[in-house]
Amino acid sequence: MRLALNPQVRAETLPLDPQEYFVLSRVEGQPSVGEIIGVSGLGPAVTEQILEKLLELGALARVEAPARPSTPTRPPHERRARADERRRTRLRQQLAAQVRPPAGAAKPQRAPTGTAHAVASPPPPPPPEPEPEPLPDTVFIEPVPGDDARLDPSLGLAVYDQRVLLAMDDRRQTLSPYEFLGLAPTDDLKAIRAAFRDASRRFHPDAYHGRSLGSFGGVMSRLFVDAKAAYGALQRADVRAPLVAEREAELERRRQRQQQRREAAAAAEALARNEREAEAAQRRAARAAQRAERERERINTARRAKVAEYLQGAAAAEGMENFAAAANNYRLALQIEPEDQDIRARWESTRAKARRIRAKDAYSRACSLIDLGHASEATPLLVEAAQADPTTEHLAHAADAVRDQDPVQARELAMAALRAMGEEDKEGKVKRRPTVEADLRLMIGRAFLAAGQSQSARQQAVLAQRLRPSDPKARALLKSAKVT
Amino acid sequence: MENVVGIDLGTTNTCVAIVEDGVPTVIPNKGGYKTTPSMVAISESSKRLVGHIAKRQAVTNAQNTVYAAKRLIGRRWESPAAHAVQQSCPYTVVEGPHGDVRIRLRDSVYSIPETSAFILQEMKLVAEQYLGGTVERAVITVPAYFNDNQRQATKDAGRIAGLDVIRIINEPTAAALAYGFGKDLERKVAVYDLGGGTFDISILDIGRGVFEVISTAGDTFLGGEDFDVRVMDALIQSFQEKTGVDVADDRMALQRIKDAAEKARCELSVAREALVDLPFLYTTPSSQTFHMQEPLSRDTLEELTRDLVERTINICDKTLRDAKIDKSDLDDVILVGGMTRMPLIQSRVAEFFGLEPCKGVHPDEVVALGASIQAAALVDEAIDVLLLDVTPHSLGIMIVGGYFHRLIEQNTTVPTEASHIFTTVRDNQTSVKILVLQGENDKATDNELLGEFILSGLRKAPKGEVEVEVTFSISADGLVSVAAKDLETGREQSITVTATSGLTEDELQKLVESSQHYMVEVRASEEFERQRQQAERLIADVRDLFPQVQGIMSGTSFGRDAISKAEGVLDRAEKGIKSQDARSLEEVVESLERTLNMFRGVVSKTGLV
Ligand SMILES: Nc1ncnc2c1ncn2[C@@H]1O[C@H](COP(=O)(O)OP(=O)(O)OP(=O)(O)O)[C@@H](O)[C@H]1O
Ligand SMILES: [Mg+2]
Repeated sequence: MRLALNPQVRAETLPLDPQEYFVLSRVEGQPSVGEIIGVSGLGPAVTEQILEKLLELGALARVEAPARPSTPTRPPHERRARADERRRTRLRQQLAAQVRPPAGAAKPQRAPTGTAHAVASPPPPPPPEPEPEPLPDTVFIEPVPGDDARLDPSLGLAVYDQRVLLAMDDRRQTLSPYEFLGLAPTDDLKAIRAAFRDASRRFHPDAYHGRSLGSFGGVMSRLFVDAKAAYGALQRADVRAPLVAEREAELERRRQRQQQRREAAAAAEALARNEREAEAAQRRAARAAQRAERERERINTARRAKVAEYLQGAAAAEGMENFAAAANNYRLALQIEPEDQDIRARWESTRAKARRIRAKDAYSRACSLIDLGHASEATPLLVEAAQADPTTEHLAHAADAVRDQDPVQARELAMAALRAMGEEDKEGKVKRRPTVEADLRLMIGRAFLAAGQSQSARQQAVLAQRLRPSDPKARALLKSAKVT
Repeated sequence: MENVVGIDLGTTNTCVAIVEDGVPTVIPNKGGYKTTPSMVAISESSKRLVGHIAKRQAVTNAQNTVYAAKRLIGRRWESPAAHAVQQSCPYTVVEGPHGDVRIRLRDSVYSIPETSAFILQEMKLVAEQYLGGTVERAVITVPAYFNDNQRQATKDAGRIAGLDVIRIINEPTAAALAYGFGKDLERKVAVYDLGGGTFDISILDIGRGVFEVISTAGDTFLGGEDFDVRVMDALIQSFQEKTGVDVADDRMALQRIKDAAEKARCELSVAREALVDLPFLYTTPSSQTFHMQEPLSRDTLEELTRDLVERTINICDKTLRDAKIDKSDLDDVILVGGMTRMPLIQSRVAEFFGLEPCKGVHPDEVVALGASIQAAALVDEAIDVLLLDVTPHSLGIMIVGGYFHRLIEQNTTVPTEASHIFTTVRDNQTSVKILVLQGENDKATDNELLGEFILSGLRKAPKGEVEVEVTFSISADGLVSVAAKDLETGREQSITVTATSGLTEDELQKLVESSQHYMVEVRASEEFERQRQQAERLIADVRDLFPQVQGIMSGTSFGRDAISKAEGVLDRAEKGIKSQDARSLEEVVESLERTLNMFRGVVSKTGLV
C-alpha cells in the first residue's frame, strides 16, 4: 500500500504534535509505508501508529494504484514551495531530535536517580531496554496551538512556521541565548556560528522577500535582532559557562541514569547467566552420574554373572568331590566379591577339604612307598601331606622323614607337630591310642635328635617309653640322645 | 522569470549583470564592453550622450560632460566634497533649491540623481537589448560607507531611470557575494575596494550561504580621482616650470591632462616608465603653441600618491581594531576596483594583511555580479544566499546641548532596533522635536541629518517628569523608522525617516515622467533611424535601376506614367527622411518597396539583368 498527502486537508489545521507533523512532512509523492518508516527515523512502531492517526485524520490517503512519476506541471509557485520545503526541512532537522518540553515547564520526572533496580530477571532475558533518549543537540520550542487567533493562513508563510515564530516571540523575554539559536548549550563556537546562520535564514526578512508577511515581518525582525544579540552574547565564555554547565549536569544525570540502567541490566544478565551455567553444570553432572550408574550396573551384572558362573563351577566341582577345583572357583568368586563371607567360608572349607584330601592322598601314597621300601621317595610326599594338612601325624612323619636330609626343616616340622599335638590335646578331639602317640613322639624325638636337640629328643623318648614301656626304639633313641 | 538586474553604479565605470540560469553574467554594452564609463554629456545639439560616446567627446566638451557625479550624489552644497569637486571639475556645479548640489550643462540645471539616472537608464537599455525583454527592477550598489542620504539619492536615480530599486547593497558586500557564490565556503574575508571615487573595507564571515558583514569602514571621497589630481598637479607644475604657462584655467587642456594622467597611471601599473605626450596642449593668445612631453616613472607616481594609499591602510587598521578582529583570523583578502591594479596598493595590502590577495575575482565586474546575485536571491527563492549587512554609520538623535546621542552603533547588523527613554527639559513642555542623525561625531550638527519630526501632545508637567521612549529600527532594506512613545499616556507616534536625496517628491515625480518621455523618444528615434536606413537603401536601389527602366518603358504612355509615379515616390521619401516623421516614412518605405519590385520585374523580363 502506498500513501499520499490529501490535498484537500491543510495539515496546519490538524491537531498534530511535532512528531506527527514531521512524519506527515516526510510524505512526498506516493511513498510506501516502509519508505516513510525509513525516512522518519522513528522506528516502525511509532511511525505506523502516527500514520494510522494521519490516515484517520484524513491528512493522508491510501493510494492503491502504483506510484506514477509526479507530473511536471507544477504551479508557478513551485520555486516558493521548494524554498518553503527547504526551510521547513531545516526546521524539521531540529525537530527530528526528540521533542523536549519547554524549559520551565514541569518536566515529567523520570525514575529518580539512585534507585536503579537490579532485578533478578527471570530467564529468558528481558528484551533489551531501549536506549535512553539522547539529549538533543537542538532545542525545540513548542509551537503555539494551531487555533491561535494570530495565525493567518493567507500569508506567504506556512502556518506551522507562524506557530513556531509566535511561540518564540511570546517567550522572547525568557528564552536563553541558546534557545534563540535553537541550539543546545555548547562551547563549540563553530556550532554556535552555524546555528546563528541557520537562525538568520529562519528569521531574516530577506529570506521571505516579496511575500506578504503581515505582522510576522515585525516578529521575524525582532527575533532576528534577538538571535543576533544571542550570537554576540555567546561569544563570551562567561555567558556560555553557566548554561553549558547546566546542560553538562543534565547530560551527566542522564549518563548516570543510563549507566545505572545499564548496570542493572548487566547485573540481571549476569545473574541469569550464572543460573543458566549452574543448571547446565547440574545437567552435565546428572548425565555423568547416569552414565556411571549404567556403567556400574553393567559391571555389577557382569560380576554377578561371573560370580554365579564360578559358584556354579564350584558347586559342580564340589558335587564331584573335586574340592581343589571348587576352592579355586570360590577363590575366583571371592576375588570379585571379597566381602561375601559366605563365599569366603565356602572357599576356606573347600580349600581345607581339598588340602586334607591332598594330604591324605600324599600320606597314603607315602605309606605305600614306605611299605614298598622306597622310604626316601616317600619323603617329599610326607612333607607335602604335612603342608597340606598339618596334623600331628603328618608333621611327625614328615619331620622323621626329612631328618637326615634336612635337619633344620625336620626340627621345624617336629616343633609344629608338638604344637599340633598340644592343640589336639587341648581340644580333646583326637583320642589316640598310646602306642600311636608313642610312635609319633619317637618320630618327633628322632627329628630333634637329627637337628641336634638331644634334650628335646630325650624328652620325647622318655614320653614314648612312658606310653609304651620297654620299647626298644625308645630305648635306642634315649641312648642316642644320651650319647650325644 | 522576471529580469532583475544588478548594477554597479561606479564613480568611473558602471556595470550591469544578471543571473541567468543560476549563473551571474555581466551584460556587455552595445559596443561590446563590459563596463560603461559613468559619464554623461549634453552635446551642442542638446543631445544626451552617455558612456563611451560621452567620454570620447569629453575633451572638447569638458564643460558639458559630467564624470564622477557619484562623488556629489546625496551631498549638501556646503559639504567639503561639493567644494572639492567644484574646484577640480570642468563642469559647473551650482547650489540646488534644497541645499543640494546640481550641475549646469548648457542651458539646463540637472540634479545629481538625474545625471546618475541617465547612466542607469543606459544600463537598463543595454540589459533590455541583451535580454530581449523589459527590465523593471534592479539592485544597485553603493559604497559601504555611503550615508542614508547618499543611498536615498541613488535610489531616486534608479526611480528616475524607470527602475524599481528593490535593494541598495554595499559594493564590498556584493563583491564578497560574487566571490563566495556557489561555493560552499566557510571563511572570514576582507574586501578591499578602491575604485575611482571611493574606498571601502569590509570584513565578512561567510558560511552556509550566509554572508555576514562583521565590520565595514571607508572613505567616500578617496579613489582614483584623487590619484589623478596628484598626477595632474605634478604635470601642471612641471609644465609651468618648463614653459611658464599656467594651464589651470584652460578647461580643455585640463581635461586632456586629466585623461593623460589617468592613462599614464594605468600604464605604470605594468610598466616602470610612461610618457605623457600631449602635443598642442596650450596656445597663447599670441598663438604660441606648447606641447607637453613629460616622462613619469612608477616611483614618482608612488611618491605622489603614497599618502593616499596609507590612508586606506589606516582605515583598514582602524576597522580591524574597532571590530576586534585579528588579522590572522582572515582567510582571504579580495581586491576590488580598478585602482587595486596599482602595484603599490597590491603590495601594501598584502603586507598589511599578511596575505597574498585573492586573484580569483575580476576587480571591475565582481560588484555588479554580486548585485545580480542579491537581486536573484531576493526574487528567486531557488537562489539560496542570505546577506547580513551592517549599518555603516551610527544612528541617533540630538539631545539637549546639541549633542549626538547614539542609539544604534555603527556596524550593527540590520534589521535592528534600539530604544531609549528621554525626559522633557522644560516645564509644561507639550512637544518634542526629534532630529534623526547619522554619523560618528559627538556634536549633533557635525553629523548627517536624516530627518526630523515632532512628537506633540505631551502631558503638561514639570520638566523631567514626562518620559518619552524613542525606538529606532532599521529594516532589512535599510529603511529607518522612529517611534516615540509617551510612557505615561502610551501615546505613540512614528515616522519612516526618508533620507533626503536633494529632490522633493514633486520634482522626482516630474523627473520620472520626463524620463519616461525621453525613453519614448529614444525608442521612437531608434525606430525612425531604422526606417530611415531602410528607406535610404531602397532609394539607392531604385535610383540604380532608374536609367534602365526609363530606357525600356518610356515608349509607352503607361510606362511614362509609371516612371513619373516612381519619381513621386522618391520625392516623398526624401521629404519623409527630412521630416523626421517615423509614421510618414513608414508609408513611403512601403511605396518604395513596391516601386523597386516593379522595376526589378521590368528589367528581368527584358532579360537585361
Ligand atoms: N590598470 C590600472 N592601474 C591603475 N589604476 C587603474 C587601472 N585600471 C583602472 N584604474 C583606475 O581605477 C579607477 C576605476 O576603478 P573602478 O571602475 O573600479 O571604479 P568605480 O567602480 O567606477 O568607482 P567607485 O567604486 O569608487 O565608485 C579609475 O580611477 C582608474 O584610473
Ligand atoms: Mg566600484
